[in-house]
Amino acid sequence: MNAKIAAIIAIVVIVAAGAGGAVVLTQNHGNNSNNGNGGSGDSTPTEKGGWYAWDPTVVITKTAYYGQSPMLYKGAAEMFKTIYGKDVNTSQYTSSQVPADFLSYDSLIVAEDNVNNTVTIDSIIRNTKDSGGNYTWHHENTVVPVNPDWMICTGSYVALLYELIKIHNGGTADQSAVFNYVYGLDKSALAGGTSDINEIYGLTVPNTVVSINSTYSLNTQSNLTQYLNAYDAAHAQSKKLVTMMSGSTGPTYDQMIAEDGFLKKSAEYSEVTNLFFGATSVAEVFSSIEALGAVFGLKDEAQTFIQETRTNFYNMYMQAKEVTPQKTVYWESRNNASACGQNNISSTILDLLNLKNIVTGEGWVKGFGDENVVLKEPSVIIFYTGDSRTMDQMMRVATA
Amino acid sequence: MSNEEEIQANLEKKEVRAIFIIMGLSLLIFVIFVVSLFYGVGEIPRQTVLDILFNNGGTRGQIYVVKDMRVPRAICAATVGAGLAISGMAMQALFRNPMASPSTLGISSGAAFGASIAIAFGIGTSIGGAPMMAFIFCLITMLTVYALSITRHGTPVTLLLLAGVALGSFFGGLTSFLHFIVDAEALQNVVYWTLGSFERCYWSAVRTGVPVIVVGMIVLCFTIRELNIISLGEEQAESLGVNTRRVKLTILLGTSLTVGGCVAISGVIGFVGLIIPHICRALTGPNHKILAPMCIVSGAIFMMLMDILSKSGLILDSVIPVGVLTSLLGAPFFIYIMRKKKTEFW
Repeated sequence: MNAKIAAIIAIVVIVAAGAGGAVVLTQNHGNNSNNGNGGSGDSTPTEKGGWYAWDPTVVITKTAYYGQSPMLYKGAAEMFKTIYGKDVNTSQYTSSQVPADFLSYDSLIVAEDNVNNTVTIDSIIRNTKDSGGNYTWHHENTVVPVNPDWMICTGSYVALLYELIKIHNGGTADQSAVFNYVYGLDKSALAGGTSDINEIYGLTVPNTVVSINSTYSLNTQSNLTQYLNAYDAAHAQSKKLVTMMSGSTGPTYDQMIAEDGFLKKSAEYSEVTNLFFGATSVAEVFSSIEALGAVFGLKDEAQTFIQETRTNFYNMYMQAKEVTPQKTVYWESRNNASACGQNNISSTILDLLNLKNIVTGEGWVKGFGDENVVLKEPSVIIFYTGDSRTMDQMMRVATA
Repeated sequence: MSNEEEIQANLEKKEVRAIFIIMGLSLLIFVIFVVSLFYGVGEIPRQTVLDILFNNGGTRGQIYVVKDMRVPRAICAATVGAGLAISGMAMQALFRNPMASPSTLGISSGAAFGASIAIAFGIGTSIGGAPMMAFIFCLITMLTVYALSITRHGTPVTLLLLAGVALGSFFGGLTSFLHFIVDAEALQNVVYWTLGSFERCYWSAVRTGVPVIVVGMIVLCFTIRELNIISLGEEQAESLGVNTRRVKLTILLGTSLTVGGCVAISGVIGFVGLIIPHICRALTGPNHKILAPMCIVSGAIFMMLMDILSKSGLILDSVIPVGVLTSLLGAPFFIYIMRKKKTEFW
């Protein structure tokens, strides 16, 4: 047999497997769509195909909403409107009607010293894993001067502080009132960053604010240098500086207190205080808002903000609960990196929206799989803005 | 019967036996193809899968999963395996180097970089995103390597190899730089792409990628005779009337089409282009007339089996990128074959 013919036969075998299968299956597909077989296949699939086949409600939201952000409720309320077709009636229940255990939180404020004008905060930093493979958390009572001169933080803390200042002023405030405090901002908060503070909160960052690398790599030389430069500036000008960041940084507490570690180095500056907050639940978000208020002498305003947010969420929860049957939901992160599972801020929002999550794993789950989404046909699908895929690609259209 | 006739008869006998093996393996492809439809992250009973295929059974979701997800995925796996294997075979013959594979010419690295910038920055979204960018960069790499290797005396294989290694390192460096500067979410996707997977293979991938791979494979198949001669050395090949420059260009074009299509479909899957040709060569000998179809069917079978393992959850109870498996499982098997065959290996 001619060798070329043998080789081409082999190729043809493979191509025939695909082409033949495709033709047969496409024909079967047509038959199947008409046979009304089982499950939710009774409804007419939309013409677009992909995940549109079962006609789910698609929600697009912003990553930056679901953390220590003043937009936490706004993000959820927007979803409520998209999913249920109406706004949340925020006056159905008043704050006094909200049960005490609804979105309750533990205070991080350990002590307040009105003489020395300091507040002691329970700072939470991720540490090494235990024998069960779970992270342990280091708690450190950190004494913070009330009303520090400068702060370094992410955009969401700035936005939160601005909200508290507005409450303090009776509803409005000049942006300079908050930016007077801001020495440096995480670079993701600046124009073009993933958490662009102007795009999300409408805040315009003055040129004087220094762009700082993410806290996630605090122990690297370049990041450490940036922070130490800021601390040098605070020292030179005798400014009290507070750095606020997530407790889930790249290096662990043990690594940060080791020689040349971030905490070891920053301890050399008496003007500097580092505060670490947890951000894995709505309760932790409220705790950190309260702590932020205490640090800037706005504790009552923080309480007002938290109470208002809890009341809004309670109204939303009670109205969503009235909807039957309960809708199912699938929440995909940008570019399908993971899917929202259980026990995180986003899953709490889903609970408040009375949506049943089809993903049962803990945290944000990798590899949930398109097959599972198709088999479970969630009635609501949530994506984030800033996804590099087109809407059709996200909904797996033109894939069939 | 003279000595020469006896050798000829033996060769023909061997060839017939090999062709039967190839036909047998071709049939095995169909069996593994159906078996692969049983496995996936979504739980569908095997009987339901068979009902969907042959009796119009199943719910809408189950039908969608089997026909629009698992079938195209299996087709992609088979085609990519076949494409990478024959490309590796052609590279090894062209460079007369057992270490040659699609990645040697920097083609895989170039394609990976193209896909990475598409994922990280959304470049090329309007023309098809990561798959198309992978394909474009594959062609750019191939043309650059070829241009860098042209001398007044032709295109020496050594220069081609060195240019490929250099360009591969360059694109590898650029991809690493990209890893460094992109945010965590994009990084995860870029890394996932570079690990290789059939997770995102739908009919669109079959329509856009498979024809390119098949054309590339056919181009390579048309150089089989020349590959046998060029394996003896360039000078000898030229003395036998082979236009080595044309053959090189044809092989580079065929390889680029094949590998470009493969990377566009599945991301970067390493090692297949290296080990499958070696294993086939160890089983059937160096005659490319037999080796080429053997590589095609073996590559297809190997990749479908790897994909079944990847998606079945048999390892770690989760989906593992197929590129990881090809290296983890392929390498020990390759070493076993290498040690067993020893001197007759190449």
